[in-house]
Amino acid sequence: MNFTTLPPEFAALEGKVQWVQQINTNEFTSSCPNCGIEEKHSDSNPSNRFVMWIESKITGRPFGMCVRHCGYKWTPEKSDTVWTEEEKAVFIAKRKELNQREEQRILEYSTNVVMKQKIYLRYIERMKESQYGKQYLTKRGFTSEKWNEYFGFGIFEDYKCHGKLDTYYSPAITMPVVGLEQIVENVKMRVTEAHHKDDRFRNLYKSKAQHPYFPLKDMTVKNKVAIFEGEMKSCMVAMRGKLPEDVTIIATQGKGVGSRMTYMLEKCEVVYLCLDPDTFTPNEKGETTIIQTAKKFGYDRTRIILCNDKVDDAILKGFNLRNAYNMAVKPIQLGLR
Amino acid sequence: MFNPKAYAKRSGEVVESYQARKKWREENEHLALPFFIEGLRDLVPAIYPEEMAVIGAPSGDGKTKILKTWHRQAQERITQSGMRAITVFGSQEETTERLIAEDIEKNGTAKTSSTPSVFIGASFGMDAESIEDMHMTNYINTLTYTQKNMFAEKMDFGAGFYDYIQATPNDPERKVIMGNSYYLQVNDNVRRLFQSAKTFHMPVITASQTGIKSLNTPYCKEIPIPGRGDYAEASAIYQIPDFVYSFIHMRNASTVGTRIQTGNWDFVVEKNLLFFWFLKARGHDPEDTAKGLGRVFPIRIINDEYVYDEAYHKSMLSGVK
Repeated sequence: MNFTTLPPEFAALEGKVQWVQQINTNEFTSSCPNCGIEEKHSDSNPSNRFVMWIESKITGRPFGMCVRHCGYKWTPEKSDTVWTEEEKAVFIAKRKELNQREEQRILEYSTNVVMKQKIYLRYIERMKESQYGKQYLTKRGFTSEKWNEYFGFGIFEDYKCHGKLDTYYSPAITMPVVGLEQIVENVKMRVTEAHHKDDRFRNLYKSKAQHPYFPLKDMTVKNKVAIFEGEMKSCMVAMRGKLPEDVTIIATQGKGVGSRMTYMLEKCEVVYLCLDPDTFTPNEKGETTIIQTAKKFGYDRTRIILCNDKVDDAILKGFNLRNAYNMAVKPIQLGLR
Repeated sequence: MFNPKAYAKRSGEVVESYQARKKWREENEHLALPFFIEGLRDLVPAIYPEEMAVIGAPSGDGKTKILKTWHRQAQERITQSGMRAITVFGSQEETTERLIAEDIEKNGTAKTSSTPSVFIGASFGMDAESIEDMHMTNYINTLTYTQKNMFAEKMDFGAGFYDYIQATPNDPERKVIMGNSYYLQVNDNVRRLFQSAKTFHMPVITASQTGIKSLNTPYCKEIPIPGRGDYAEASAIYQIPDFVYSFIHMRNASTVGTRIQTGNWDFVVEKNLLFFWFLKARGHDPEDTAKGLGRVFPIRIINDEYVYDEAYHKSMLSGVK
């Protein structure tokens, strides 16, 4: 990516934004001066959530706004989060355009690189001969060969892991990260002999994007979706969770539900969240990941499935996900922030 | 305000509502809770939503165990069907933690934590005053909260279990109406529990303690299953419910190993032997829908299940051997 300097009209934002890119002669993007300079906010990696126009369509004057949830606006005269109807319309249109642009970029990368190389097929082939791989999957509860083939589990016997503490070789279970319409967007690796807990999961391709995973290879997103933390957990849910057929099962990569997923699910009627127990623990600000995630989808349409354990482990111990799904609660009923 | 129109119906209207109810029952057979002893399901009818059953037995004869067993079956039915419903188990007898201790022991925490149930009652560490607060008014308020506010959407109740009538603390509000009469309070509690079956559209199963010191109308002296007259502590306990089942655990009424010969019966008391007397089934016909009505059945507890075996039954009758 080519970064540039801030146009003079936005010089006041110098030092407050990063990763300035020029889209056209009138439009620039960068991280948000209000919410987007922290690394964790760089959901587009690098963040391009703050959009700047040298000449705004409405006023003809410089105008910038954050098109993610913080709602920050900037003009040379003032900066705030109060929106007029006109500004809201521009915001929505711009956000849509950015999201579509991101979708297009991912689609092109997936079809031109990931699916063309088909490296995951090589790993699937290797799995057929790998006792180690099969034993690992069995240990994790993936005992059905048919399902394992369906998910496309493979093995990379000597994956070089650049870990948190050191660099080492470890076997890794691989799986194609299947996005909507069965587009293979990446290849996920579960490092089986990780030296540090942060080393356990890796994406083979550095696509700089989020990849919502659809274990049942859906062509469309249904009205109801259930989101789980991590691809393998969602596979377990698809295999043994007995959720109703009108629910689309989706996995996040880690705890984060980013803008791509919120955009993808914006028309869904109900979003069920089943995240790990640690997402219910308040941070130093008293906020919990589960509620902050629910906030992204909107409290009214979010339902929380309660599980005292990580859902895949729990299912293997007899947890009935269907019952828990039926007994889901609204975020507000948890009394958390 | 009283509306006489709701109470007086022309014969044609009654026929219409009778047919509608019959049709509803036929179409909603899946909502009825089958009797907990599988071997007697052809003889003892299932309990439909809005109906109430009472299990009567002397103290220590396993009322709670029967309720828990039946409750597990109700949980299993909901789980197997996948329907969005729960059971509610209210206990004045045990803490909520004690109620599920056996399930955790058997099935582990993961399975137990995902059973489709809400437990209502005192918890570990609750003070005595709070325990006293769980009188019938507050129990019913808690049911309302559970149905309307505990989950994302209003929840259906597949079955309600209540352990047990006489253990219910007195309601200070109702005392104003009932006075200090224990008899009236118990009657009032039974009536309101019965009403809860209608309000929450669920089958309700509860337990009642029968006479501790003596029995008025036992089945017979040697097999003292409580009879109709043994619910006389408060007449409503027998009059209001749709079904009444009486039990006796023989090891408490006699000594294990004793041979009992009375009437047609000739058997040796076993540790796991119970007798069940099917006393009442409102709206059922003993010739047709409740063939077991009025009859006594030997039941054995085998592997924590209540088992009726016709061959075993016959072997206990003199002249059949």
